[in-house]
This record gives sequence, C-alpha cells and structure tokens, in this order.
Amino acid sequence: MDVIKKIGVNLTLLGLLGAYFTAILGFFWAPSVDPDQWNAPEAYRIVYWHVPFAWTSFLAFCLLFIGSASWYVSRSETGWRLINVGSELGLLFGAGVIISGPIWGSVEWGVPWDWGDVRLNTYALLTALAIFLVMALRSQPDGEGTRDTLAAIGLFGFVLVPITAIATTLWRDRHPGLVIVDSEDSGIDPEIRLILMLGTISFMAIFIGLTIVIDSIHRIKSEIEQQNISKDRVGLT
Amino acid sequence: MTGIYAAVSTYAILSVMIGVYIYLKLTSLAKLTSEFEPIKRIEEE
Repeated sequence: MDVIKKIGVNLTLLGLLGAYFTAILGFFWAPSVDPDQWNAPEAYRIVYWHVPFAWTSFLAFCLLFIGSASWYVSRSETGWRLINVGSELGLLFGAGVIISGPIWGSVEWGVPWDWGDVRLNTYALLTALAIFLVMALRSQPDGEGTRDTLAAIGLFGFVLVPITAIATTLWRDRHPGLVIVDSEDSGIDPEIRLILMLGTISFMAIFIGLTIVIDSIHRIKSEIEQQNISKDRVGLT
Repeated sequence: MTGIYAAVSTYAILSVMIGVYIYLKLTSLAKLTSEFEPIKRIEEE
C-alpha cells in the first residue's frame, strides 16, 4: 500500500512538472499560427493545456462510469470509491476546460460562449453534473439509497461523453475539429503535435497519480470510520 | 484583451487551480497517513 501511495504522489508531481514544462514550450518553442486564418493567433497557445485537460476529463468520466456500473452490478466498495474519484477528477479537469475555452473564445470569436454549439453545451452539462456529484457526495449521508441515486446520475452522465467527443465531427459549428487524431482538418505542425503529446502524457500522469492519491485518502477515511463503528459497538456491549 | 494576454492569464489561473488542488490532496494524504498508520500498527501488534 505504501509503495502504491508513493507511486501516486511521484506520478502526480512528475505530471505537474511535465505540464508546466509543456506550458513553457508552448510559449517559447511552439511556432506561431497563420495570422490570416485566426483573429487572435497568439491565443492559440491555450490549446497546449486546453486539449490535455479535455482528454483527461473524458478519462475521469470513464472512471465515473466504470464505478457507477460496478456499484450497480456488484455493490462493490471499489465501485463506490471510483465514483468518488471519477466525479472529483471530472470536476477538476472539466473546470480547466470550462475556464480556458471561454477565455480563448472571447478573443478569437468575440464572445466567450456559443449557445448554438453542441459540444460546448454538452460539455458544460457534463461538468455541471460533476459539480452536482461532488457536492452531493459531501453533503448527503452515506447509505445505499444515496449511492444508488448518485451511481444512476453517473451512468446518465457518461452518455454525454461520446456525444461531446464526436460533436465537432457531426455538428461542428464554431469549435475547432479534433487535433490529436489525424484528420484533414487538423494538419498541424509536428512541433505543435509534439508539445500536445507531451501535455497529454503529463496530464495522464497527473490523472493516474491523483486517482491513486484520492483513492488512498478514501481508503484511509473508510478504515477510520470502520474502526470508530467497531469501537462504538464495543462501548455499547 | 489581446491573444497573448489571454493565453498568459489562462495559464496563470489553471496553474494556480491545479497546483493548489494537488497541494491540498497531497497534504491531506500525508496528514491522514501520519495520524492513522501508527494506530493501525499498534492494533496489528
């Protein structure tokens, strides 16, 4: 257990260093984009964190789905812990996307939000769902009923993941197309691609590290709770 | 707001957000571990 915790802490810190390094490369090494094609060409540098934040948030929502499904199928404690981890990380990485996107939109499009764009709205709904889950997990008393309700919401939320992911391909409006996957639309510079890959790997390390750290925190809290319950029982008898 | 100003402010906000979050989680884990591990060890003995 201690070894796993150490791996989690080290991965998180290593990922954070990688993410900061990605930002530095994005500012000082990444080439500029064609100023004729963009209204605010320098603002594109936001992409080096915006895209990894988005991809990692999808992983967090996948974790939430696995946890929710696992809770329904086998009522497993691991499933419940995954719901906790998935919703918390979904909120963290989702917030990163929701903060960076509108700042870029306000300089590039002239408006921070486009209510007609499917991807923007489904993603906002997904992040709102993560906020709801995190708040509910902190405010509601733990019990089978609460767990069933929150797992059901987690399952519903996952439906939005593929819709959001393919929205730019199906109903592309304002949001730029996919950039990691090769496509006619992307055609991105190899240096930009390299920095994006570094960013994605760094955020993946943060994601795995934080998953271990948050899970360890929940594990210890649950053990303390179990101990308190047994002490109370001993006191009563 | 110019493009470069938007990019710098975005990175500043997100750096603080993710940095503070990770700091809080790591300190919370360290605190819980230091409080709980000795009790667990005594009970196991």
